[in-house]
Amino acid sequence: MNSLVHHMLRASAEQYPRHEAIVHGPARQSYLELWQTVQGIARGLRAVGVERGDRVGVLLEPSLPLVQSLLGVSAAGAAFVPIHPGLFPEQVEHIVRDCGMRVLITDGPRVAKLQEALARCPALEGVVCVGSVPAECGKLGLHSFEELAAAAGTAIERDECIEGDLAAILYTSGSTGRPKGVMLTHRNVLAGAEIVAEYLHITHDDRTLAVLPFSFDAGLNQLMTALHTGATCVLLKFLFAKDIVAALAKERITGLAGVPSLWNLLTQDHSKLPETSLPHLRYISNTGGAMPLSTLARLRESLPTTQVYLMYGLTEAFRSTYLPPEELDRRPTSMGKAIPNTEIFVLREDGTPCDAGEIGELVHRGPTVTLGYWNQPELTAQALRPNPLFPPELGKPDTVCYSGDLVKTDEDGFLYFIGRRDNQIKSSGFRISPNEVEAALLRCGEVREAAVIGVPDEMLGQSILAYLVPRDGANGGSAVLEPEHVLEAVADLLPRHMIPKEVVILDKLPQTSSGKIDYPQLRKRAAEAKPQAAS
Amino acid sequence: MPPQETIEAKLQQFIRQQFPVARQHHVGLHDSLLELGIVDSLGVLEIVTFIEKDLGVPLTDDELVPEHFTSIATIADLVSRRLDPEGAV
Repeated sequence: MNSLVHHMLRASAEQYPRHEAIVHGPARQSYLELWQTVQGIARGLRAVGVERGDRVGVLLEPSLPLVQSLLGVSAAGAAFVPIHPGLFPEQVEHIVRDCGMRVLITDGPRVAKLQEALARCPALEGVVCVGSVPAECGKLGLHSFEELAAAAGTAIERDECIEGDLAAILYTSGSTGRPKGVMLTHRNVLAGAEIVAEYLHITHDDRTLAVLPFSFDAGLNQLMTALHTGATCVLLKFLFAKDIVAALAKERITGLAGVPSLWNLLTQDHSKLPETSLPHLRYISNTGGAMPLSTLARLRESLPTTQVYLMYGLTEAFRSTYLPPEELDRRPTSMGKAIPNTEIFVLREDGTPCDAGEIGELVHRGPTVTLGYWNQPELTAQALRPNPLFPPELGKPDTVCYSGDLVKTDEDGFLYFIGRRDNQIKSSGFRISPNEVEAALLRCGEVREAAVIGVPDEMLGQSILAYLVPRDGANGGSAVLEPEHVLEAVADLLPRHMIPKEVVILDKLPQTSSGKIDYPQLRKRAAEAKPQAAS
Repeated sequence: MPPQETIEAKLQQFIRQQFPVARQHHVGLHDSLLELGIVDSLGVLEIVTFIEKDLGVPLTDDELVPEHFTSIATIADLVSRRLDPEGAV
């Protein structure tokens, strides 16, 4: 019975022992080989002191050891924390410290770069290095991944964990420099794999190309779906779109999961997508933001026989909805309907269900609702709340996930994204708090007042529009405020996705009767200024 | 024909403008854009677009390899060679 993450691998190793499990360039491992390596790593991690429930970080480029490590941590009874290899040392330090990480699996060159940051992480005891092991790293114990993987001894026969235990923590690349850790149980990961395998019809004959990082819920889900079905997962680190297209052809890939920016890359010149024949590519799936219609049209032109699945997911609940390919022509802007074994409510403020066409908050109920944010009970309580529609006769209600996304349904129950419930902006998959952008703008020179809103943007979902009021100038008039100077200054204060795309200078900001900034008025103004952009 | 230094300056200005992290880390001509995580695949696309549209230098598929995009200096080399294929750098 599969109740833990590594059980999916174990089952596939029994059923398809010689079938290719993971591929990275010339490196390949069958399911049986992968399972054997993973058991070795689990034993090795236990030997260096990893215990049930410990957090073990995995900071590796796409490679076989990356996959082996994630599963090895699970088999050792610990929780894996995938860390995006593109993060800076200070971001890695935040994650290691925040989750009280005990062991980090990475490579030798990275240890050297991270040495100072890791020395500031009190709970960290050891580092496991793939490849060369540095001579020292402060007080941390250093171990060789290869020696660990070869650790002899008996297999870990009895798992201590059960399905409700912590399997992984995913740090969201949220809007601030302090990402939060979303806690996934083994049940969450298994349910996500089972559900997605069902609606994408994935079997052991499929070969999926993993270009999304495993620190991102959809990327991890793609790997787990492959392990669950006995499919082959091909890992790729790419820089150019043509690298992806070449891998699709060479590895006879049948399924590719991506985000809008990836499809944008693939439909640019130089990608070679239109002139490459990809008869094996059975489906592509999009998540992490709406696919722009023009991009969708170009993809379908280049990939006439490939099915397109548009998906929507919440980090706090993995996957939520998908649009079946046969609905694409009829409702190309729809988010679709609930994934299998999942219920999506559209709720009014008072918690009662909306009628068709009425705008309400999307609320997700199902087995992929996570445990919430690591060590953040208040934030967790905001996102995860008791099910308001639970029959009282059944006792304690189950927990549902409030998305903060406003949606509506059409007469047939298909969902459509409207905007954010709060003033939050959703741009290229990031949730952005207007307050943070405004606070940064106020630090840029001659800005007296700032208000930012999200405006519809075909590529980004929403883009950030800033309204600024200049300070009073020396001679009584307004100081000179150059939008370009403000944007340049704010670029030093904010990550890239939080920088406004456009700046409009006003004499004053519209106010409500209570003296607050009148955001609806600003949104109306933006829509009137660009009627074609208003949806 | 702009000399190499002008191209380097234009690229540096563009990269510092487009990638705030490059400014924060005071990226110089020979710093590794890719290894430091300053530029990802989308960032490379922006640089390619800048070279083709703003500098007016079309690039061939064969030129789109990581080695040409490791630092501002290597990108400038690539652009200079395209502008002046005869002149040895």
